[in-house]
Amino acid sequence: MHVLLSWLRRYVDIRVDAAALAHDLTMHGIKVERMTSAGLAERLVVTGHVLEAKPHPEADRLRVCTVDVGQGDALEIVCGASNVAASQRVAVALVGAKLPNGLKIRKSKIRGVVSNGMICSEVELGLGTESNGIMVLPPETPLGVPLADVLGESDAVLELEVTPNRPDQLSHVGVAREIAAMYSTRLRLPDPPALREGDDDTDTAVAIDDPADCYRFTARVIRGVAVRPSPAWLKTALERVGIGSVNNIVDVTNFVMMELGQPLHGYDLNALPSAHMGVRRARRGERLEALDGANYDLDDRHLVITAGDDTVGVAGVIGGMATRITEATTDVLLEAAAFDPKTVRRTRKALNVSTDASYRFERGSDREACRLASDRAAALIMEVAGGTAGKFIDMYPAPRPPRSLTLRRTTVRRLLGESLSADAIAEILGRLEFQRIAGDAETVTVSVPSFRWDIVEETDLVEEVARVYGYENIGKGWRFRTTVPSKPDRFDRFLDGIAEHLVARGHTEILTSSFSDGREQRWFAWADSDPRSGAVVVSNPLSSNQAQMRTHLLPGALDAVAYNLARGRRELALFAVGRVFIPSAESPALPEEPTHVLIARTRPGGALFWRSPPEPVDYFELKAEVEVLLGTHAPDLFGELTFEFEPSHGTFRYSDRRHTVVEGGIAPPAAMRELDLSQPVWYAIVNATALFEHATATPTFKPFSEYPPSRRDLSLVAPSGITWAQIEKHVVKVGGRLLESLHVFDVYRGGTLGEGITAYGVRLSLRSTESTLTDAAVDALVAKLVSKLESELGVTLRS
Amino acid sequence: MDPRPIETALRVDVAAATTPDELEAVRVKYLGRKGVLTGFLRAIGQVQPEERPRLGAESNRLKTLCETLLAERAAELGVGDEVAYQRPIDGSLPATNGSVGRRHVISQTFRRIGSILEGMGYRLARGPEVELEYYNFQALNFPDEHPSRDLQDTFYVSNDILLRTHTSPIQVRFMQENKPPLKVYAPGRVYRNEAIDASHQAEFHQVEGLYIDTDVTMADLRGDLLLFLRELFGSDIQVRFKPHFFPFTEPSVDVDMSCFSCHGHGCAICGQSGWIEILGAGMVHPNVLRAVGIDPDRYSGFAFGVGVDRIAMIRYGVPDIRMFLTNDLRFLEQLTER
Repeated sequence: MHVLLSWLRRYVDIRVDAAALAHDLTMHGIKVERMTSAGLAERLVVTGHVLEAKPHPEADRLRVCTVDVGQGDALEIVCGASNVAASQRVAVALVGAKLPNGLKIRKSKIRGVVSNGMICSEVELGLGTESNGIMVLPPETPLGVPLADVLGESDAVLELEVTPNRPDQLSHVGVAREIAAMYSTRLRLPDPPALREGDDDTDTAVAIDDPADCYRFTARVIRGVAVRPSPAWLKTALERVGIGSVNNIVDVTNFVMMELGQPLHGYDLNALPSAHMGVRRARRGERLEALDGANYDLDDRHLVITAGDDTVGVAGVIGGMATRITEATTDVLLEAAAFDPKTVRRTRKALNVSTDASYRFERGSDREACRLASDRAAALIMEVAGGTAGKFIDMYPAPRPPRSLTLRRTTVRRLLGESLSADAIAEILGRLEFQRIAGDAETVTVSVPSFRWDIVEETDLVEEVARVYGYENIGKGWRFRTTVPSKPDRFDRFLDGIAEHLVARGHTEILTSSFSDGREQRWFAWADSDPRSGAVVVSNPLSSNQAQMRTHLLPGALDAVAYNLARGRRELALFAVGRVFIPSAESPALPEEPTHVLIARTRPGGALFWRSPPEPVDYFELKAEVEVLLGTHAPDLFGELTFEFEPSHGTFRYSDRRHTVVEGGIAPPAAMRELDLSQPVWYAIVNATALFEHATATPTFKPFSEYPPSRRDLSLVAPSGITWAQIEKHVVKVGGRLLESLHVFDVYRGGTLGEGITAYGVRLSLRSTESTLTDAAVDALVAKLVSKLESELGVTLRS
Repeated sequence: MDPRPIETALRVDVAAATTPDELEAVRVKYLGRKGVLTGFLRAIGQVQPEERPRLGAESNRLKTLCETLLAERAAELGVGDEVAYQRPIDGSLPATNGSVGRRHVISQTFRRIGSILEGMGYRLARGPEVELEYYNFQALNFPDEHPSRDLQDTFYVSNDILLRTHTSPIQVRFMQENKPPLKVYAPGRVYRNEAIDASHQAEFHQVEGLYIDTDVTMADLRGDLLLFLRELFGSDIQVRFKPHFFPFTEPSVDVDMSCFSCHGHGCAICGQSGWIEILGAGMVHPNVLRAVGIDPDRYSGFAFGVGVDRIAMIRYGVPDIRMFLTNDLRFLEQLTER
């Protein structure tokens, strides 16, 4: 909201300049976001008299003017405005002047002619928003004096950030009240003269359908007004706070709203179907053409103002077009009302319209202010438009009883850490118009002013005390204490360990969006039974491609891969840590949010390098990365995981009994096409949440064998369709505790063996903790293994 | 044929060699084609047949001894090392692959903030990003149909489920499950349905702090924030409290810190004001405490919320918040701070 310094001064004495006021208000809780000067402060802009305006010898559109500025020789100034002419009184910015738009005036040469200043327009001087050439002053203007002195006091507009809890600050009087409290000075409320009210206006009446929707509705008729443009003071004041001037009646209603915070509405009495005003819910199918020219379809969610039975306005939001004040208006019906904030908010949200009035009503207006606002507006209307005010007609079914609150000294001390006496507390609150009505040395009971909607309990008063006392005065004698020991969060450390591990292995961390457009579901085509085939859907997304929450980290990572490949980076090793959102089977429960770690690698072959160039990333490079990670961060679990390989997709998976702990492979072809990726990308996803469940056991020491190992090299021949993992499983099972290691040293496929047949060269290392294994024992074990492999898998020993 | 003088001479020669070259000469002297031991072996053919096996064994023993002594002396002289060093054609040529990994600047900032707060007695708490409306708004004293809800434009999943707009719901969840005294920090990602520009992102990151005990005052809030910001930005940092409004705190505070770059004199970073708006805070509203069954007449406390992206932007001079999610390696690779 904008407030004008000169306007504030109507109600309170301000002895500091605008900048100091802005600072003090900010420190007091009314944040001044911006301050702009209105009017002119620069004293090097003076009045001048144009003696001569000749054409510029080198430019058709420029004139060379000789200007008397009342001192020394007349100045030669080049001017581009078409309206400059001899014998005008003009505003001259002298060399050295700084204009509000930041321009510094220097002596300069314009197309070969020296210019000793500038003849200014209103826009250049910050005095207007549009102009047709230079500013021409009245002929009687004195010569050679600062323009600021001619125009009168300079002014400032303060742009305030008013928080939603302080609707009382949405007016000049409200802000002036804070200033008065801040500087301990007196507030001067507008005091309209007692109105000479006309005869009883029996034609006018007001009615409220439901006092829960509308707390108070008042009306007053003013007859015999002359609608015309507003006088300059009114127009300027409104324009400077950002409200366009309409006509004198509408401007007065806006002025009083900006003065007291009470929105008002003026109707053309003769355009109203009846002077029986009412407030009710709209009926389905009703329609209103509003002041903004839009047609609104109304229903019973909307609160409306009626005249007779016709809807003439949306209550607290916007008036109707047909009953607005026009130049032909002679009689005005002035409405000042108080509506239920929630009803106004619902109405304006449903209609998708927001006005200065709805902004105030939905935050809560002061229902006690209707009378003063109506009186004030009627008096101002009579002042600027003539006419006679009628009776104040007031429907106020349930006046709000005065409220009081008690503040304990101990509460102030408990929350602020400052010890204030009850009298000091009462003095501070009194400055904000909370009158002490009872209390003792330990407590202060105050009445709560009707405009302070936000004050509902004791703590709210503590904040008022703190604000006036000064936040900066709190905590001067503080010493650190804590009563709670911190302890590291194990999952956080676990994740951080994995992240640091991946960094040390050469990966760079990326941070990807939680939103998705459903790519993962397209790319992976999960079965319906897989919860990842569904997603958490955002009902009001920023855009259609951010409409759901990710169930997989790959899409976001591939975006990063595509982005960097497109910028010439060919070799990428990336990782990401983030949550994915897996819809819960029992909706409407919240989704599961496991934390996943993604690793993505890509490297093309054939890079030039002085030694043999690195190979492209392949399946086994990625698998190694995963195994190093598992072996480092889940050493106990690693050997117990089930490994599966899906040859047709090039994907693999490690799982425990309940979860997939790691899965990965090559990025799906659909993704490659969609993102136009030119080189294969290998990835793995580690479900860190699942992995962490296993990372809990404290290991215990196991003695190692003092006896030598026995080694056996075997050549195993596997028929088509048997994978190494299947063979390994049996070896591990038969070998049991004696199997120390299992090493594949050769893989040979096809050729002389025959189509699809694979031979594995395998070295077993066997060792007992109890004795040296005899050859006979080893042979027996190998024989058992071979027979098991043969019977289960058809794998034979090559002779 | 007596091997003993040969053995003695061998031991003396090996011990006398002080450079790899001299040692090599010893090797040639004994094991070369015309070497002493080679000669000894050849000479065995000249002796009586019954003497030969004993002398053959002696010859083998001498040869093994010679090799052992040479190897030991070579190791003493660092001969093998030198050979290894001499292998590369030019050791200044570029190394084979070895890429440098980095943490994301946001993770780095989370870690820095977390470790400072842990040092001050805060422990970590976390909560869901897809959150119940109850925890995000209602339990935090945002009245239904109130303009305070407009302060945070919200993504909704359904009427009562949304994407959390701040990390504050975590304090409610934590207070529900734990009894005072409690001191926690809650890091995480938050969501706002806002138009995206250089300083606004629909997804960003916050850290929330909460301290509840008997007699926790606004002075404690000021002190903890001063310690925290000094640890983060430098020991000469000052803080300034301005009244503000948040539904879940009363009194509420807008916290400024003196500019770490110009020390309050005014520069481009602080917009010439000498102060930077850094976080929001306040004393936990009694309604929030009541909603989790904590008696506001017995306990009090404070909460604060820090924008992690904003801290990172200020700390590293990042001009555009969107860079954090763009993942341009030219960006990610330059802001590592260990």
